[in-house]
Amino acid sequence: MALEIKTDLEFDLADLKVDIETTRETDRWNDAPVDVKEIFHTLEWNIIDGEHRETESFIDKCLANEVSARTLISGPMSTGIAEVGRRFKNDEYFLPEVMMSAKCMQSALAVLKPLIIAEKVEDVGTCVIGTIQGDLHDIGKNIVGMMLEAAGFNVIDLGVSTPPEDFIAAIREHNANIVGFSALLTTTMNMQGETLKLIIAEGLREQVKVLVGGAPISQSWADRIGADAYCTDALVAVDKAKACLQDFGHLVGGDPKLSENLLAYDK
Amino acid sequence: MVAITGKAVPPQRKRVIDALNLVEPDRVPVGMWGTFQGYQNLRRGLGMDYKEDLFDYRTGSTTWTTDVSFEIDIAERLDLDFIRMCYGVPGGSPGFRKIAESDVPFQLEIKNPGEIFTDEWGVIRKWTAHENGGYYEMIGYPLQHATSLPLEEGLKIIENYPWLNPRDEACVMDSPMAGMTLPEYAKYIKTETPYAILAQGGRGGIFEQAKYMLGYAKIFSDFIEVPELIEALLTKLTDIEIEFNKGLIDACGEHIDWIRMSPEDLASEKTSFMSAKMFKKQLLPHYVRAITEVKAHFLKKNPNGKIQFHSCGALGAPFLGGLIDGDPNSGIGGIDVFDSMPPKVARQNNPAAQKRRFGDRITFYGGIDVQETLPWGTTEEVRAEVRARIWEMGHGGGYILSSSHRLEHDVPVENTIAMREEAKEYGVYPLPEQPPEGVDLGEGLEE
Repeated sequence: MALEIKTDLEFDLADLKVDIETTRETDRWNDAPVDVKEIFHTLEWNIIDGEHRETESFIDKCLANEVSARTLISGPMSTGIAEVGRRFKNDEYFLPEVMMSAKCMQSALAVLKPLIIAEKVEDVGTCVIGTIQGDLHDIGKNIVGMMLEAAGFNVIDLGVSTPPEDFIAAIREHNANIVGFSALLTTTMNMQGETLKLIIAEGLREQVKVLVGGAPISQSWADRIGADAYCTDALVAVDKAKACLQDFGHLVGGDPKLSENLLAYDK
Repeated sequence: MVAITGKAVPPQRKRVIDALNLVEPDRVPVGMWGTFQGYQNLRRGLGMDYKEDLFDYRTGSTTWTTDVSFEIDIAERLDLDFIRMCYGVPGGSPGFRKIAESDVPFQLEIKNPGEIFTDEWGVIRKWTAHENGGYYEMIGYPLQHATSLPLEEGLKIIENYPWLNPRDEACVMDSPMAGMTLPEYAKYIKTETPYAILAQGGRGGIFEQAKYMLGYAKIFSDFIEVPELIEALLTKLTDIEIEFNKGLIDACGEHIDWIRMSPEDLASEKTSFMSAKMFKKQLLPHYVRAITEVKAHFLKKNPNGKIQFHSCGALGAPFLGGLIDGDPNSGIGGIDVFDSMPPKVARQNNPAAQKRRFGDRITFYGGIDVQETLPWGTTEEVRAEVRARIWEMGHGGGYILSSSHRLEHDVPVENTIAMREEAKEYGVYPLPEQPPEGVDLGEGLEE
């Protein structure tokens, strides 16, 4: 089933298709052989279109062409999901379209993750993420996790209602550089602060950079509890996580200069 | 108790009716709603007696966040202008019962969930505690798997599901007043108190209940992947919503001033959950059918009756506009009132923007921020916000002031009183000519 591109702007679908075709011609994969290039384009657009049913067999085809798992993830999957994020931000995509793309990403990642481990490619960094204790909501957190994986991070997802001690244990076990707390409710967001307090008490504050997000969360909340960054959406989370390790890798978690610098990534 | 003399409409009720008819009343009417713990906290703070156990309270509009029905003595104490009243739960209030994990008729995703409950729809809930109480979070969605089956099988599951009976006798057998049935209670409020009545018949809603039946994440992809099943489910839920409301109207519609349809959440703080195109195609027709049938039925009992609709978040013009238009062939229009106006949403759909856009067509309800100002603000900040909201939405009537969602346990009683007092002091018509501080003057917003 080919999917229509859903958009809030009810302009002519034909125009939209032309627009998409034009974008398709923008060649992102010049260095790749022609057949690989075609595969990349198709995978990228399957993710944008949320066409997830064929993903697994399609990934097999990629691998048969000797494209590495890491290349697929950091290449077409990453650009595809970034385009989804851009459309979401611009009110061209809404939750239904994003969830379809997420399904596509999930099925691809399920095949690719074991291969990445086998490829032994070094991760960009390690993120421990989870919904904080008392809160069972995870749609947004799952999307953030997926996008971080697509960006090359090793992601340890602790799931929902995560006790502070579990964050501590996971940070230690996986030697994490970044930790992300999600919260949907005003009644549970306080646990972001409590979990952060435990990280400080356990002497891990300088090791990890702390990102927070969720519906009731704001920059002022992040400042109030002393997090390094507030991430308004998954794309911003990836940008800030990358910046934490690359541009500001020399700063430790909790350094006020870090949170100040990361504000620049709120576009 | 304020005595009702002769046939004059008491000022409280008149104030509300004026606001509903887009006429400037003597002052902005005020009402309240809250969770169980918010209500307990309020009563405790006011030095009033309160019940310890949630299950001793009659449930409020939904079972979702341990909503309770506020009693008449609170309206007297805080000088409110109307009472919110709810049709009961099939099977009887409060609508929850404990269930053993082994009796859940489908696979739960959460392992070892501990003590769990089922609500009247068959959605599995778990008590989820926070620092000062808790609420019943949904952890099991009874139709989650139906949409992954072949179409015919899925449709059969929806058809054969043990749906609740919206005409169950228990729905009208009790009320917040001991010993009174719901019709007796409605009549009592109408004849023995000065308050207007806002009543809610439905208990789950259409899109809202569909989310609870399928799961929050799954329903969104289902809208694209299995539109036929979504259509069947929404049709079923619309039928139930209509019957709930008709049951309420048949029982006591003549006493009710306006009806709130089951609450629907269609947007986040930033934007709508789905595109306007998808909304118009897959969801709006169900709302329009429900609104038209309920309104037509209500108008037979109360020719001046109005219909209120709820969504949280930043609801865009195509959405609200479609609900206000309703069925153009019905001759009775769509919704008349929209709640609950959270003020800190994307600016193009904030209270000031909605008033500019639709203020000549509908009344707005709510508006005082429960996310920051009411729980954490000072009384002066609450008062400033009340002034701003009244200035933004009060002109020409058409504004009923209340919290932008239920009062929760974390709202200090002095802030609730400050909200009430400032509305009484500042909300006197004609409103001041100069805007107060902090008001959104609407510069750059579309008309």
